[in-house]
Amino acid sequence: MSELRLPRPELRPEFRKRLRAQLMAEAVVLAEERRAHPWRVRLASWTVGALRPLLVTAVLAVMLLGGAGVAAAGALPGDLTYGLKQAAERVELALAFDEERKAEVLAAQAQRRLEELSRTASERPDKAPTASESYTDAVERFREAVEAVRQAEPADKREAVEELVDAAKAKHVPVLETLRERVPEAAQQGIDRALEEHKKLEAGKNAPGRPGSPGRSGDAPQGAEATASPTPSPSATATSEAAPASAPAATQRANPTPRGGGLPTSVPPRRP
Amino acid sequence: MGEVPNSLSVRAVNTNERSQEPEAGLTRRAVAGDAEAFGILYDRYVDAVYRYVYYRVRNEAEAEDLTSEVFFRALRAMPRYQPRQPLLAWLYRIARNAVIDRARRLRPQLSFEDALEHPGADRVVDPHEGLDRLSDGIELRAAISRLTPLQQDVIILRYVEGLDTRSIGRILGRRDGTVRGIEFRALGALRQLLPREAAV
Repeated sequence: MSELRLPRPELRPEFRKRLRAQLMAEAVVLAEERRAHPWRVRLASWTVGALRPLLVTAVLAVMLLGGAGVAAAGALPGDLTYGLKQAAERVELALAFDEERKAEVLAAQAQRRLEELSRTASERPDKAPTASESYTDAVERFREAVEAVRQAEPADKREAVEELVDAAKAKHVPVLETLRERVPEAAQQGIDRALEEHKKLEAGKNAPGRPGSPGRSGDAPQGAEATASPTPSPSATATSEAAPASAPAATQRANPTPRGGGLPTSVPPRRP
Repeated sequence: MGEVPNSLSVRAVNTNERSQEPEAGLTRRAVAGDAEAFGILYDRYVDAVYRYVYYRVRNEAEAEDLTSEVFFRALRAMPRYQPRQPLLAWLYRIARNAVIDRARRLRPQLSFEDALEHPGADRVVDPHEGLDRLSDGIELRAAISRLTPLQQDVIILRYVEGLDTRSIGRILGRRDGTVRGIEFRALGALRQLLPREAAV
């Protein structure tokens, strides 16, 4: 036997993909366990082992089915299934393969938070501060992802992300301004912070030094001042409201139609 | 012998084109519970783990089951991972244990008397096996399955994965010279087990 050669079998791609998705779901569940009960981590790996497959399956179901018939997808802060919904979103984020996709996922998640805030304001005003904080956190994460793309990604990806920013501003800011008048004071502070995040997003678009930014090339289009204005003027809002009708495919992907026919364009009436 | 990498870490970098992030950073993040980092490590090493278990079990389905088990075990044990050893070496250890555990689970299914009367009766036979057994290396695989577990490890890591004996020693917890001795005896056994035309 001068030289032994053994074949190198190849893993089936569909198996590889399925196992990866299962592992990502499991990873999120484990991270949740560790975050919630650090001292129980080791114990949990043995005692909760029998239940974990069910939990992982549920996370995958929420992740794959979105709002279609899965109770957790429509959960609001305070619901038992809300944690599951958040876990599913972490899986969704973990599966994003690049910064642009991350920004898309986070844009969709911010939109869900806004929908929750809107529903919470009318259905459970006592939970509105929590909902507004969740929304602000979501916008902040979205902004960080956008900044990452603005700094590092090629021009086509930057353009796609700027479209996400425009669409988010057009959809979110008018709703936030209306909601602000109707929620308790504690929730108003959260909304103010969220509006600040939107302003930072807009300001970052024209920040000098960014590759391809108007601030660096000096070819800022007319009206850029109005777009970058820290306080959206009525005309800017009116312009942005037209944006969803011409939203690009990337935006549409990132913003799947939420339960109940999409993001509310009008704020539901406050419950008596 | 073809191209044999000098170390596991060199291999790790070469086998993944999607992410060039060094293993140390990824494992640190994975230990801290970062799912994305674990996903990248999975992409990097799943093929190597699959190939290893493929030669230690009877068919592809079992190999997939075990590959899955290895990565779930690794994910749960990640907080206890010590970066003293390369991650792939750690995964191979988990895979070895998973193979051994599986063998223990399956053993009672075959009585001692049956095993004496029908050696290999617990082996699943593929109806198409006769057609492509040589081209798919099935003869080789069958012969390897008759080696001792340690010899199987050495042969697979050396001649499927192309690792050098030092790297294999780190994975198996044996000295370099010991690995060479095991390899020598394993090759001798394979010479006896393989039909002449299969022994290239």
